Amino acid sequence: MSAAMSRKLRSRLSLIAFSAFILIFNLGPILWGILGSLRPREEIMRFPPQPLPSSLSLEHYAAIAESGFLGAARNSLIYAAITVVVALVAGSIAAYALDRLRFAGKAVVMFLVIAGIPLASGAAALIVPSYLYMTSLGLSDTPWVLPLVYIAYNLPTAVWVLKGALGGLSRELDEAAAIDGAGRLRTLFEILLPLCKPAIGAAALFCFVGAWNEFVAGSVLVDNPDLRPVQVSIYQNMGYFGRDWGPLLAAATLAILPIIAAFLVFGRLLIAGLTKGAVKG
Amino acid sequence: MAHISFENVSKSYSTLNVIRDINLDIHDGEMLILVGPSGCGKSTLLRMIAGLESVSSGAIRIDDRVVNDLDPRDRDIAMVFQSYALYPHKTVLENITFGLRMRRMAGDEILRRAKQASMALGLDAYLDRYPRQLSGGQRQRVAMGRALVREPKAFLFDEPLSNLDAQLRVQMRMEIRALQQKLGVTSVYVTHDQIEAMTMGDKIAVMNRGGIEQIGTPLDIYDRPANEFVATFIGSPMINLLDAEVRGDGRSAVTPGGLVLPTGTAALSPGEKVRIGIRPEHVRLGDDGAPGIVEAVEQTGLDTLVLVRTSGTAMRVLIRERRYMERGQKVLLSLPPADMHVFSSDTGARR
Repeated sequence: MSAAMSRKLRSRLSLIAFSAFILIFNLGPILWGILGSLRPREEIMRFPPQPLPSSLSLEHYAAIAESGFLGAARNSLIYAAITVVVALVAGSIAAYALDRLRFAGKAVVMFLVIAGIPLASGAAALIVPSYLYMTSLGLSDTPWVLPLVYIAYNLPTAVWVLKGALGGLSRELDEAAAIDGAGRLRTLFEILLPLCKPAIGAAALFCFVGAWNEFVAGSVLVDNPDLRPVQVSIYQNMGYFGRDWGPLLAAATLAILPIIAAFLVFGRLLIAGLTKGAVKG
Repeated sequence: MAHISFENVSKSYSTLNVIRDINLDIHDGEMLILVGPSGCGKSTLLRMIAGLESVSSGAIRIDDRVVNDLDPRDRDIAMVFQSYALYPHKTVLENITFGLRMRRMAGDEILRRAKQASMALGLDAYLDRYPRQLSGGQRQRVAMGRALVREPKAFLFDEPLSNLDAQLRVQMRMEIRALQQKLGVTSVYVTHDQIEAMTMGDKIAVMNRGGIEQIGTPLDIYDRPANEFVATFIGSPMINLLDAEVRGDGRSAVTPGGLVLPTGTAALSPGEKVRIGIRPEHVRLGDDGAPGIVEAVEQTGLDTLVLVRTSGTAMRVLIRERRYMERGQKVLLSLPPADMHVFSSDTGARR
């Protein structure tokens, strides 16, 4: 074997080792959580830990199904779906206005949108004003409050991502559509947005994950157990007298699934856009 | 079909005047070419007809109706863009018929028109393809098709051939002209290519710095340029322009280097400073005339361009027949009085 070949082999092996380490580092806790959710209760905290459970059991899953987890998951799915749809529709219209129209105060609006992005990801900072505002509107503890708040939190990101994509599209497309007889909304929805699929995918992912994973507003703005979102429901397994690890792990495991599904659905848009060269005329 | 007119039309962005007081009539069925250097305002003027740019003052009329405040879609015009502006996610058929769909035309009529246009443009085999699957020339045809099916009052073309290779450009320029003449649709065509301007238009408007320098038939403009700018802009190779002073007889002028040039029929006063223009193909190499020395020779195969230095001035000479000449060769230049263009040194206007 020549020196060059062995060097190549060595660098390849170290790359594989490094990748494996990263993979284990990232997936390890998830795997531990999934296996934990399937272990009999007494095995979870046993020391020294056993790599594999002695027997697989669905008792924790049965427990969370009884405790209202599925209802909370359904609530969160509905909240997230509404957030995605409304944020995309309103966000694309706002992005269009900010990118294509000239109006007074445009720079200020854009500044506020950008300023809203970090505020939304640190939503705890907004919880007191949000609570007071929603209470004064008579909306707290209603089915509308969480979708409204989630839309407000995620809209700035959606606007920002979509504006970037619209900005990359030639204005001659708008002009051709205008001459063809299309109005602004028609131009946006039939000509421009189909060319922004990657951005739509990215914005939808942000909104879905943002709404699904939100905890603080979900725990403060609704009291009614029937309106509770999924993250709050997971937290229910942490009691005053310690953590009920089995149901906690089972709930956390199930809560990952919609995120994976969202990546499969919206991620496809991202990839489709990247490989298609869609904006090339 | 329509009659388009401009009445004292201006456009400015705050203090910058991009279009200055344009008065222009485009008759029914006519093809007008707007030509000029980059930034002269020709595209802006076209976009003002389309309704894509606002009018600061004056009136644009289509068929005697002032359209200044009319939306593009209500003007019943079609436009072919430089980038074609095809909708990338729509097939050729969908691209062509989008405008008809927006006008809520009946489905069978849409199909009939799409078929007709695609046959005329040789696109019938490509109706299911997407723009990215087409060559530049085919995309150009789709853009044409999109304009054709609408059967609009007027076609507007914004440098539609500038992205095509030279051969295709010649072919498309003939096709567009033939189609326009066959349909008899009023058309405005913007280009910076003077060959396109000369070959395609019924009339040419030469633009410079937001204004129109001259309007006329192509040959009119070539034979009698209204000023120095038009004379230099139209014609390739470029016209020879020489500073000179009118002599005592008022019928000839002399350059600082001592070259005597006839001034033809222009009424000039002795001592007047002028610039004399003579097109390269009008300078003759013959048995008598001003002596000169060949400085450079360019053979294109079709003709020969010779740069001759005479009395301290470099003069471009275009010879149609095949001539083999060498640098340093001595020649005699004759300058026919009838082909001289005399311009004022101060204003550049034709004398």
